[in-house]
Amino acid sequence: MKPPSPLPLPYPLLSRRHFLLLSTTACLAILTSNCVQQKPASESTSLDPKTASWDQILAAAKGTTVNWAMWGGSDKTNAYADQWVANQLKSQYDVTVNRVPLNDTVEAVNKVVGEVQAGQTKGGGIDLIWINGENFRTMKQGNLLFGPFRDKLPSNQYYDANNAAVNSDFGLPIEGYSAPYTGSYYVMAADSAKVQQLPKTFEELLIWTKANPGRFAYVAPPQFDGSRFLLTALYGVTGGYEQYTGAEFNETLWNEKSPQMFDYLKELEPYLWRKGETYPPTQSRLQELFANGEIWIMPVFVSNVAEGLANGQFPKTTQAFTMPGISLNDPSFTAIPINAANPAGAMILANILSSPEGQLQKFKPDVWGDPPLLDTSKAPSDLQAEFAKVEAGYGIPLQELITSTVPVVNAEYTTRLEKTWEEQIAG
Amino acid sequence: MGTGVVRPQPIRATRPQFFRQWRAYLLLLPAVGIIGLLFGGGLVLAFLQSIGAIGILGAGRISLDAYWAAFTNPEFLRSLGLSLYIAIVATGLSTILSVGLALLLRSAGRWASLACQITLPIPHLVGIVGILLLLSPSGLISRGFYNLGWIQSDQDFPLLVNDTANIGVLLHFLWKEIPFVTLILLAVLRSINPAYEMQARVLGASRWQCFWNVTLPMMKSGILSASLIVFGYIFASFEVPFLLGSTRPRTLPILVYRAFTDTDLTRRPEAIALGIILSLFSILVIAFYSWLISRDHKSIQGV
Repeated sequence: MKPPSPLPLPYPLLSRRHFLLLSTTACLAILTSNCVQQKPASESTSLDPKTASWDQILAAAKGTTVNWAMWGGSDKTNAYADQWVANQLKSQYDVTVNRVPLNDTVEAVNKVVGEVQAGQTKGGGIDLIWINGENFRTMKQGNLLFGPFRDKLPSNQYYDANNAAVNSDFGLPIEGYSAPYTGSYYVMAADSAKVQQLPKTFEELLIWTKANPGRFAYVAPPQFDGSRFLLTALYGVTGGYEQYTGAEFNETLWNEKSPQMFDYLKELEPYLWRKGETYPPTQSRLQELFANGEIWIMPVFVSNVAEGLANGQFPKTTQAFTMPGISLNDPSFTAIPINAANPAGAMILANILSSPEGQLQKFKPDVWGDPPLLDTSKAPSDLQAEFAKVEAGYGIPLQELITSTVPVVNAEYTTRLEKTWEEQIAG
Repeated sequence: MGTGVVRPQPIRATRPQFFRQWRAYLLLLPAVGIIGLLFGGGLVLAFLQSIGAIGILGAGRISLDAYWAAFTNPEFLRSLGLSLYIAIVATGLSTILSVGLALLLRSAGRWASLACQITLPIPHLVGIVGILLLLSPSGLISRGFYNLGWIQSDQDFPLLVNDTANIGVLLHFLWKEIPFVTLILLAVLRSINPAYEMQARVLGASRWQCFWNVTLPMMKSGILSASLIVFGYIFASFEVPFLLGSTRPRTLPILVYRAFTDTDLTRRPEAIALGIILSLFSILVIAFYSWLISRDHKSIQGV
């Protein structure tokens, strides 16, 4: 490190060893001081929302902020959260909503896992997560959820206690650890100007795709929407979903049935968009392909169709349709992490989201277009009329969605489908 | 430890002397501290998780299983190959093209440097959207061809995004990195004394000989450091290959992301092991480059 010129430096050089020593010591000092300082800075409230009454919960949450982690990929869902939900919470309960946008819900799971690992068992950064399926299983499996809290919520009376769609999540009993939120239905959409007869089974889909090569596509799994398509294919090719119900994964059944379905996908692949050499990486890209007329049929969540029609992205001739016994009823929920800083505020937010007013607002196609999860016949009578009014303009009858769709089964099937797809279909 | 000047020092002067001595390092400390804490600390914690020393599942049993799983994952080698392919081709092409461009623009005025800076502040995501709008099968170019009657439908247009050769990814990186490397090389070229080249030409060297034996060696350290930055960036880039790259194989950063965001928590150690392997690989490349550069300096000083 000798300077090339003999000119004296303004200050002398120190040995590298001293410098390294100094910086390492500083780093270690900061690390240790961080580790020692584990006690949460803000003392949590003495109230225990598990035993407290609803009034006490309301009082405890007054003036607080709720950090709500949710998938942030749609302007409509974001606007619903930022406008209607935030206004209701502010004006009715004096609670502020801070939306934490996510690219994938698993990021929130990772954050909670990281916090709990680091010893932060209180005062965590997330109060409420929009969640379902595999992520819910992960958090329940890891004892990372606060609860049970659902029976505390006044909105719980509007839900049917015997309806499997709201009381279990991918075959896993919810047991009060999450509250109902969205009623997503994974269906198909076609441009009826180009598709004469809508394929109602996977057999018909294969015939149609062979006749119209390059005009059907699905998102590359393990991206969420792509994984959903694999599940519909499993139902549609191997003879219905009933055999896969039950809380546990059935290995024998999987080994027996899954090869049929992957044979089907292999047969389908050369007729997919771009001959299956590549798959759209995200659902928004798939919808762009549809909007640009590159593909004519796509698997999609029904709310995306309502949204695309309302904002003019999709052609007016776009039609949503279900494949009876195959299309998915894929509800999602909200859950509170075990280390939430503000569980009382989170419960109030979860209550608003599952309330009849919240479910109705979300159902309007110009707001979001997401179908309600609550039992509309239990809703107050004036709201029942409102629900009927929105349904009339929705494009696809709610009753068809409810009766012809089937639940999502144990998440292990989806995990296996993703893994096998990568091994056998991709690349 | 060469202070250079030795003179008797009064005892009272030790404190300012001490401060003067340490000043450079004290000034460096905040920056180095942050990097050391956030990067070094993160790396240490990641390593501990990858060997199972800490973690929410199976904590306490220390093993190298995660590394074994990462290396034996058949996907790993393919992903490493793809990452290297993209990084080497994109770095190589952008370096070669930038050398040419810099030589062309050498005598141009300040506008040349300014023009090279235009793409610098544009985020990669914006560039990706631009590439999609232009090159996708229903993009602007394809529509133009269709209107001219050169293609019959969008299906006739070659696939240039999400394609198996990763052409879209390479084009995006070329668009982004050529101006960057050119900018650095222009600065290098301007600092080169033109007398050497004139001398060579006077002594009868051809244009090519002059470039190869005189100009290029003087640009070498600039080329090496610029291409090191570009290589390091591209090798670890996530969003560009994720949005423009092939479905499979995927680059190493995407593989890490997939494993890390897998809902199966037991895959996390493997994800972290993959991340550490990626970091080690980058560090090795940087070490190799700095060795190249320092060897270069020595040979110049030795002359």
